[in-house]
Amino acid sequence: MNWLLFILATGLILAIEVMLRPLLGLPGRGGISPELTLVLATWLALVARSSAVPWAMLALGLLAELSSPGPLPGVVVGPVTLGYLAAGYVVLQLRVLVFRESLITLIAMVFAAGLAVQLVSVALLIPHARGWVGEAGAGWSASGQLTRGFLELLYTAAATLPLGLILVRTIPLWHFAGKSRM
Amino acid sequence: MNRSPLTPRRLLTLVVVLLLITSLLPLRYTSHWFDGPRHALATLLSPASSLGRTLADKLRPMPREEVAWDRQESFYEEYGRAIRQVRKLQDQLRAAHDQIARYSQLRNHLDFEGVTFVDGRVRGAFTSRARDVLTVGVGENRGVQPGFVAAHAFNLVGRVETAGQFSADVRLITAITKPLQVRITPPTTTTPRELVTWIQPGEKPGQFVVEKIDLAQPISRGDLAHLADPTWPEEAQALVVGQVTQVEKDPADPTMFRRAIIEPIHPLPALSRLTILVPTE
Repeated sequence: MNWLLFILATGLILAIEVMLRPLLGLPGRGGISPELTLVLATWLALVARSSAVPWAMLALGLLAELSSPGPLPGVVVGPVTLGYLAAGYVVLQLRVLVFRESLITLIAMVFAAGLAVQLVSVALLIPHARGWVGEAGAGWSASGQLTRGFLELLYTAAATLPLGLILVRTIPLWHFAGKSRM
Repeated sequence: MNRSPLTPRRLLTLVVVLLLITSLLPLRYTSHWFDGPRHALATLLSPASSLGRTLADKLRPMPREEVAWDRQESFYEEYGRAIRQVRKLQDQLRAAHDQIARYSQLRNHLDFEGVTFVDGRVRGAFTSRARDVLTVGVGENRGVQPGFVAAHAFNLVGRVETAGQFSADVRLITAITKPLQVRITPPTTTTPRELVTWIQPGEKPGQFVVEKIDLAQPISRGDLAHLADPTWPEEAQALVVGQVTQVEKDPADPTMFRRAIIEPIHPLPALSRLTILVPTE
């Protein structure tokens, strides 16, 4: 995989995501906006070599986790990153069954990957919310977080269409079949 | 054959274990370690975030009534529209006078002695039922520390939750989890009646509620709730927490008590600038 292009694409997509948040955020819905990093992560998990996928997932998950404040009063690093890793695993298992370069496949996989991210991250946040580790995160509920995550996922799936069209056209630049660059 | 002990698979396992540990550590440790990288990333992304907010302000402005002079409608219709617009402007003028009256009440209680005002642009918002946070583009470089009070004009916005070098997270007042003591007064320039009471989170996000108000106690729609909570810093006292939007019979005991709904004057998650009150002493 062309890791230089990965860094550039990640930076660009993260900047676009942050820029579009106030523009596309749904008012009155807790600021729900599409997660473009999840689209990039899913697409890479679909088309990249399986050995590169976990590292790309970790990097994208960590950036997604650090770029927006989480639901607890403080910074916790790990739940979303591990969620991305789990999402990568899910897509790697499913990709043998689908047409990898199809846009419809990408949308479906974004949905599956997003569910994995939500389930893992919410599961890892429960000990904090319940007060099993440190102070209890008052007011946080797993069901509320899952509902919000599901709505965000629907929005992300809708936003996959334009971004997916662009990503699919850049496949030759990524050198997925060749040696790693950098 | 000499094989390296650190194969990619082992390294990945190690990273996963580390992430599991950081996921389950108490927040006070993880916040201490990861606040720096998070705020550094926010600083890197701040040009994009600022651009997005500017575009959002331009593309989604407050709705207003347009006078469509170019449309083929009768003159009287357009004249009626213009009159309505003039009335609307007069209402706005009255609202401005009310605002002057409202802030004249603050003069009696506000104490900004020994406080400097650090103004910052909002870079991001995260709002949910559980946690309402705005990320503001000023941090320790401007003296901002956790616990400092954030305001918008004379309205209380919240308190700084975490502060990085160049940015800080402000937890909004609408995300309170315990009751706040407030002084509820009407917005007048004369000596007003006042009711000192406790407010708590309402049923809907962004609302507060005052329960069990005696029928004899004075409260009406439009009254302002000023902070009067001794657990908050001195400089936050008397800032406006919100305005009474509804007074109704208390469902638990409608014959004896009323309850009031209070909402912030401005929708806090939509603010584009904040002022952090930094104590100088």
